[in-house]
Amino acid sequence: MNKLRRKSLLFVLGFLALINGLYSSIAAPNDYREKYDEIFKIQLILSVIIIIMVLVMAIVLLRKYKSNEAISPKEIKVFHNNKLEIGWTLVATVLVLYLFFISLPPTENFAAANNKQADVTISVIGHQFYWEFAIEGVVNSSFTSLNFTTGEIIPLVLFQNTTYLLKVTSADVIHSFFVPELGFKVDAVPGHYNYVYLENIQKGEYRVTCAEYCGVNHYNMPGLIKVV
Amino acid sequence: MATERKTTSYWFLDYKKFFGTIDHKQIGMLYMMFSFVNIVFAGLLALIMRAELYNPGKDFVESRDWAGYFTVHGTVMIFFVVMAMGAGLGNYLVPKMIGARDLYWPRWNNIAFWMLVPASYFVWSSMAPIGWTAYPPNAIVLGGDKVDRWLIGLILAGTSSVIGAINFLLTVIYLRRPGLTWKKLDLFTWSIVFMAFIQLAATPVITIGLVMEFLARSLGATYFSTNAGSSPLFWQHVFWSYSHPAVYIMILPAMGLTSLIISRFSQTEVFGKVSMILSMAAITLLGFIVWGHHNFTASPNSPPGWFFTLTTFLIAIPSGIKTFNWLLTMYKGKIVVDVPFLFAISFVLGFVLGGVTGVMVNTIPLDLVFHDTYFVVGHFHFIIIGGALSAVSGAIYFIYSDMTGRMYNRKLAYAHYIFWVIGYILTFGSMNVLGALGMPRRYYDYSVLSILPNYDMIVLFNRIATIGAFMQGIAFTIFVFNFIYSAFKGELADEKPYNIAIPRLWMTDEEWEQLENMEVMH
Ligand SMILES: [Cu+2]
Ligand SMILES: [Cu+2]
Repeated sequence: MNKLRRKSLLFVLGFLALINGLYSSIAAPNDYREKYDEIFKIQLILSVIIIIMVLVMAIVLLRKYKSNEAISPKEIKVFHNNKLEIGWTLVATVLVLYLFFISLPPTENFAAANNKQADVTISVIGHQFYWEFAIEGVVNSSFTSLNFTTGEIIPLVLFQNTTYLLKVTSADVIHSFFVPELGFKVDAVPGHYNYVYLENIQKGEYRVTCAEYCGVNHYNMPGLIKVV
Repeated sequence: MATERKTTSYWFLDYKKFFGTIDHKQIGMLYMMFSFVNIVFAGLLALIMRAELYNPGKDFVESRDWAGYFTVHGTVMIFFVVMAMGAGLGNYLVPKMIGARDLYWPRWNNIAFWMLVPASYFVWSSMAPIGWTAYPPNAIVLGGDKVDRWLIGLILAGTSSVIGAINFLLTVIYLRRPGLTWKKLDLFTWSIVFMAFIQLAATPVITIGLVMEFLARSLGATYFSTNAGSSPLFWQHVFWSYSHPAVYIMILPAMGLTSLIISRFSQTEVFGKVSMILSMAAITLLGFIVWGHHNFTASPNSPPGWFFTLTTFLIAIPSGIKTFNWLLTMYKGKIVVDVPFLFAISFVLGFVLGGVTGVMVNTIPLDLVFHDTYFVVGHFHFIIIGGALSAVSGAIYFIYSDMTGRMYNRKLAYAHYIFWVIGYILTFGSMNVLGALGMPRRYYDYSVLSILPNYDMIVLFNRIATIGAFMQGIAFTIFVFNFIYSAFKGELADEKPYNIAIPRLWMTDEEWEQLENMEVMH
């Protein structure tokens, strides 16, 4: 029994170490993704601990109090333990507030995009079923994510040391501009502008997909961001 | 004491009773049967979709049909399966638990049920390609009558749900047996009270929204269009201010059933009953002010995104309290490990898995990635399938002998359980991974994701999700077979009908006897 306990403890610790390792080995290409990785790691570890706690409690109680005799309603006992209940309410509250407060700075940072000054503003317009990019203030700078004759994806090229403001909207129905590797998505809503501030992205290629159902070709709206 | 066993009665074979019954037990059974029929077909839709997603690329479904499938699957599962199960079990159990002869309005009860049948007809026949969220402008610009059928179906379903809610509330308020105070009321009845309160308060909002969409489509009303000074985002607030509380319409009765089953089978009282009631109240009230967590990526620059994160996080507290109370209910009990009990434990597992993923998706820096991906799909299926449907299945086994006078086959029930639990963990766990890998939801073909770095993993986890879905399909087939077969061929339930069939824990034997001999007044 003791051996089993030690083994399961080792297993759990190993699993947590694995999560930890997995998320430290990959360097995030920008700060949104970095915050995502950081917070996700914390929550994943907490979640694994909670799930294991619940399972262990269930199994231990079940094994201990398993029985087959029926008892009469008169023998039924009621247990109360106010201290215990107040205790775990407090623990849960502290935990939840902690999770809330660590998520607050990156939340505010992402939300404040429309108040930031960027070198270049790029308007991103969702269409059924492609993306259109245009550099604001530059005539004839508009191009689409898709080459309609060859079917090739045309990348949006960004410079690493320039700051950008994406001004996202839609020409028809709602789409969502999703760049998983850069840790964000933002909906393209007709008649409404959503802003994303981008800076200091590691050089590389990052894929864009559409994440809001927009019609028959919703699954096929790829784009590419190339940072040089 | 009413312990003599009735023999099985096949009352539903008589069409007059079938359509006209005003008996709460029979209407409860009708709800359950209706829900079974719907789950079979909506489940088939899910299996078709999972089969299509087993391989990347296009296999046998057309892209233009795909959206109809996921719309109808979602809508039917919510309104005609899980909510119908809640209403059915509420119908069946509540009058018994409060010592009433029937619901307050038996006739309206019948009408509320039968409204669901045309409602489901309209939804099924619509195959509207809009998703169950019906976001404008997509849902408004689409031609044809598909969306209109869907809207009419939901307006009917909402009306039925409001009638049902009023009926439940009146029943619990006015028909409790003398001496049964609110404090003595059992947790399942409490859960139905909270459920009915949400239905009553929230459903009118969505009904108005649906009518607005209908007018926008048919008469060109501009409630959700930009050039009239409004925005498609307005709909999202109307929709989610109903649809988040709607989640609790589905989960609250399941919580009540879990409390009921765990305490009955542990042969103890629920641990911390007062905090259980307060937790449900907190969940109910907070549930009304969290809807904005669905809209963060829709308008990220307009405050206050964090407000909804905070309110949603607060819901984790009563949810956690309830989880530990359920577990501690087993403490010092005499646990009869039987089918319903195992399903109640499965509820706790599904609820915890859905809970921790819910906390993740509510954290805005994570939501920026998870929103509208399979992560969300995995999260709410853990709650609704792993959670609510597990509890409902357990409850159906629990009252089976009382409903049919016969026992179900235990071996088949265990097989159902094993396939079910492994199946849902595989499917919805994989969906969570898929979302974290960046796979958006509502994709009919994910070969376009081959541009993503973890494409191999995306294919692998899609396959695991499909395998899990088919395991759930097998589980449910066993359940339905067992349910029907045993109703006709199962062994007769013996003298002590499954020893704990109908809950009367809160009564002394004398009280029970008194009740049996008492005329219940209307
Ligand atoms: Cu799309
Ligand atoms: Cu919600």
